[in-house]
Amino acid sequence: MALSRRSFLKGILGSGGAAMVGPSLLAPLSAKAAEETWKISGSHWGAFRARIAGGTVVEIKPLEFDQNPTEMIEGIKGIIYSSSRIRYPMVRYEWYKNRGKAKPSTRGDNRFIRVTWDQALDLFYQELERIQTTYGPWALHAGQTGWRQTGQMHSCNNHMQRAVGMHGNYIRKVGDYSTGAGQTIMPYVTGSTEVYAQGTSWPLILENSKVIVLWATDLAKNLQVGWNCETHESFDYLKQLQAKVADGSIRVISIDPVKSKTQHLLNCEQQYVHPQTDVAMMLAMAHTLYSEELHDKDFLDTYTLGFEDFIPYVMGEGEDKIAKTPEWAAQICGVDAERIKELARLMAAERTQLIFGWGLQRQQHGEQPYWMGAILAAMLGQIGLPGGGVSYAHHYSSIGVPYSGASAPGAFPLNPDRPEDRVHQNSDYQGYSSTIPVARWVDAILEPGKKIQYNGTTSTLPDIKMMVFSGNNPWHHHQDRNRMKRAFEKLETVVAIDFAWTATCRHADIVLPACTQFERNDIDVYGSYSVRGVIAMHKLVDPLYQSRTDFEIMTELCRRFDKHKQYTRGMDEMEWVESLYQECREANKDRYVMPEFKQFWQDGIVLFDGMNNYVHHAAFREDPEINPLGTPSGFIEIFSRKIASFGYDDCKGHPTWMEKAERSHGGPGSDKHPLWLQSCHPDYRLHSQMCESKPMRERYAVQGREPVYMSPQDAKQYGISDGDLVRVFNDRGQLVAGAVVSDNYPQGVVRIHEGAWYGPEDEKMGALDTYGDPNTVTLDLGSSKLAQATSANTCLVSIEKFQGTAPAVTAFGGPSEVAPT
Amino acid sequence: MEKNLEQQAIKQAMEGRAGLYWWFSSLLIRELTNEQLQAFCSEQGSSLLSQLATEPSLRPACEKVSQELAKLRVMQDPQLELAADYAATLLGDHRSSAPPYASLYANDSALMYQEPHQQMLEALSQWQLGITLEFNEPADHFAIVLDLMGNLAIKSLESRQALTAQLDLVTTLLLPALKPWCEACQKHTGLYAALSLLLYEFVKLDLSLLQEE
Repeated sequence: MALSRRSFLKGILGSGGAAMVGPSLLAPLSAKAAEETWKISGSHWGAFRARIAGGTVVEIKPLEFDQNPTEMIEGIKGIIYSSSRIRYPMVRYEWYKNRGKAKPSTRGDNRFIRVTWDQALDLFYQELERIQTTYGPWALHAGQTGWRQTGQMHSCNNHMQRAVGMHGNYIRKVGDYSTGAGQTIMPYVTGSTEVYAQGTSWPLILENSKVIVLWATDLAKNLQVGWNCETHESFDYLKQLQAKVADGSIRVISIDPVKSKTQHLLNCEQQYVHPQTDVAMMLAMAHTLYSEELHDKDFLDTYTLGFEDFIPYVMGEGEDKIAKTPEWAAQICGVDAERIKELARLMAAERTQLIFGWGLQRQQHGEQPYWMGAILAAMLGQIGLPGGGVSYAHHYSSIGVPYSGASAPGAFPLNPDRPEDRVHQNSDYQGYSSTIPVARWVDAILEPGKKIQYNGTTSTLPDIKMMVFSGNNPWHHHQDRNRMKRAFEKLETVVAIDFAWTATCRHADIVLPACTQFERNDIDVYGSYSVRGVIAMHKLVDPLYQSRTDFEIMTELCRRFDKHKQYTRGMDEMEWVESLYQECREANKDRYVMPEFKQFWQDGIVLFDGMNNYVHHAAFREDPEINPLGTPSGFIEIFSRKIASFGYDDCKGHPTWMEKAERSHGGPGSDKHPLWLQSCHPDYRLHSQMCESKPMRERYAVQGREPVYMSPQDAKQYGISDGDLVRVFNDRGQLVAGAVVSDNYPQGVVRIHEGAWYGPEDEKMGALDTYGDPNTVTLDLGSSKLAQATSANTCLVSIEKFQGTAPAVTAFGGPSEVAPT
Repeated sequence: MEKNLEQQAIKQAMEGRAGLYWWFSSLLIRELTNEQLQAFCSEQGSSLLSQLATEPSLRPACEKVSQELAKLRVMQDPQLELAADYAATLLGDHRSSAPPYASLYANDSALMYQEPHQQMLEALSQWQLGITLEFNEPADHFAIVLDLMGNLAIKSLESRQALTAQLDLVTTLLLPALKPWCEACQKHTGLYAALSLLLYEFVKLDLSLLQEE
């Protein structure tokens, strides 16, 4: 025995040393073997079975029903066991010491301390109380919500807003970052948002369409994810379409600057167009249709309003006296005039389904291409026919998949129960607007009291002092990071509830660890629009670390102001899940047999076999008097008197071509920053969800950075090789990304997928983003006075090969370096 | 008589080892209480460090710890500052800080709850020990591994198997993970970076002594 060398141990910690040792972490326990089980659950990425062994998720495989699973299913373990998980309630150090008097420049500096749940929730409650009593409801914004984790019971938006709402009133948002311009303009044009409306069923499109125009939409990329649990049935129809393209029975044309994933899948044609110039091209197509009398006069007479007020603008008899000829458009959009005419003729000659994506309206004047798309479809006269007309959402969830007609399970309530009995009844917003356009909250913080035009009203931006974010990551989805930094310096308190250290959490004061959806029991619809079934979401493992369900977090918050019983309605998690199922079962009793809850929970899924087809706007076409659209006139409004009455210079009474603040290919600003940056939805994650999953990131990252895709021509011009690190920059910011050089991209166009986590080198203004978040450089500008939506795709950048040693990626960390003072 | 003395010495050594393992475990599992911090900054702490520093391989790390304690003594709010130091060094993710979990250092997957967690669950089960519910931590949290080491040190007075188990735990799980963890800690300043070094050196030393036994 090496006793002599152990002499330094003698009596160590003997007398009094015990004060330095804390309680034991271990206790005697009778050994119990962890059983291996399979459980079922669902997600934005689809349904799956998970094998649980030793208390951990060891294997995930797609549900057998899903014949087209996305490989993102494999990233789920990376979410659960990510080292980016928030493990404990944390409070920002400076804020903890100084509360509202903390130095503003310290926000985002990553200095945190751990607190207990009781401390954290006390602070949260005290801040709500302070804001309501010191200021009022206008100072609290708890209205930013987003793509939350799936599950109808635990939907975090509902939990946060119900709980905070039981305490007092607050600022809410209208619209969303995905479809802000589209969902605002289309009710004036066709009477619905269109972006969230059911579309013509794929079997009818496949049977009837001769031409399908995919206008800036990438179905194969975006259909991998769904708002609820995705079934991926739409891919069956894409495969059929692929066969029809191959045998020549359907002609598919992808109008897009980039060769999309869908174009490759279908092996279809591409029509290149300069970025942000689609409206010019569409106007020219309208010019051709009208000049060559290819437009459907009867349809326009019967179903539309205002064509006569619009066509003079096209023909050069409008205010600008410019005829929107193909030759005029060719100069702007880069498409040969003859080709524009050819496409117009083709569409008029054949049954043509126009399918638009959402990226097109996420730009300045994003209302215009959607409106103009509807006008083109109206001129073709095929709206309401199977395989004809226009759609704005066939890339979204299960839109276009034949539907069961069953009722989906409801959700945990978002609002306080009526009669509302808030702790603070004050609803005096002191002249500020209580609801503001979703993307204008940073404007509000920076310029409180400013009046902006929005959709026919004047919005007075509130003086926001406190924000609460739950399952919501604006430090991914909002534009212009450095502008956001300036705004966040003005906030007194920020609360973030999430399961991973997003950049939003790193810029918050109180950070609460929610568990992932895989650590709670829940229920969801299988197929958002097809309602193919109802799926049980078994808790795979208990909440990790000190994380809690949103339900538990908000129950405990409400307990602090004695509203917890009203909040929960006296039910626990499983009672809620069962009640949502029972309500769904009752609603479906005349159509579908659903088993008792116990049986459903054991089976894990109940499927509905109905396969109904739908033709968008067919009822309207059949009888526009009996089935009018939801527009002011009941008809398709080619000219909108309502919009014209607003007098907006950037959204007039009919679609117009307007130059952008920034545009590539010779447009404004391109002499300084020549490249158009498109930041479309990612291929390997859902917005920013799953970016923290290292196993998934390894499939696409370049030298650990988000890819920046570019053409071989641009790569050559800037001396960049595939795999190089690249600095992407403009006057708003800079980031480092990894080059992927590809023929899919034309000269002058680069892409960085949105959702790349923000990881600045430090908290200073203008700091280099170390991972590659495109919103470090995007423009924070309202689409127009109509929608005030995001204009993320109006963005020019420059690129250069990164010089020197790139800083380490900081995007996936929690609190970091603290030097005691 | 001589045998009794030797047995007593072994007992003292094992109790000393257990005490140290538990001390390190307490330092890692959570922020120091005021009481713990005061004790550490007082004569008790100094004496502990002096005694450890008699072992040459531990001396440099002990000096670093002493220096950090000296800095703390003059701070306005040392407990809070230390809590922030703790969070910065241990509570972030593996890029920005040095989370104390063996799984993160087992391979380059950077995932939690991997093989070391399972290994620890088996070891705990074998010794009929469970993690107290207050700490809902993966079993491969270094604090839990160190707590088990302390328990095994005591058990090894009566069980040869416990001695073998310690060797196995240190060689297959603890030391391979402590090395990169300690390196990651050195990117930070403060007491925890110094303590990580002391812990790493101590476990290395302890292994060499265990191997001699």
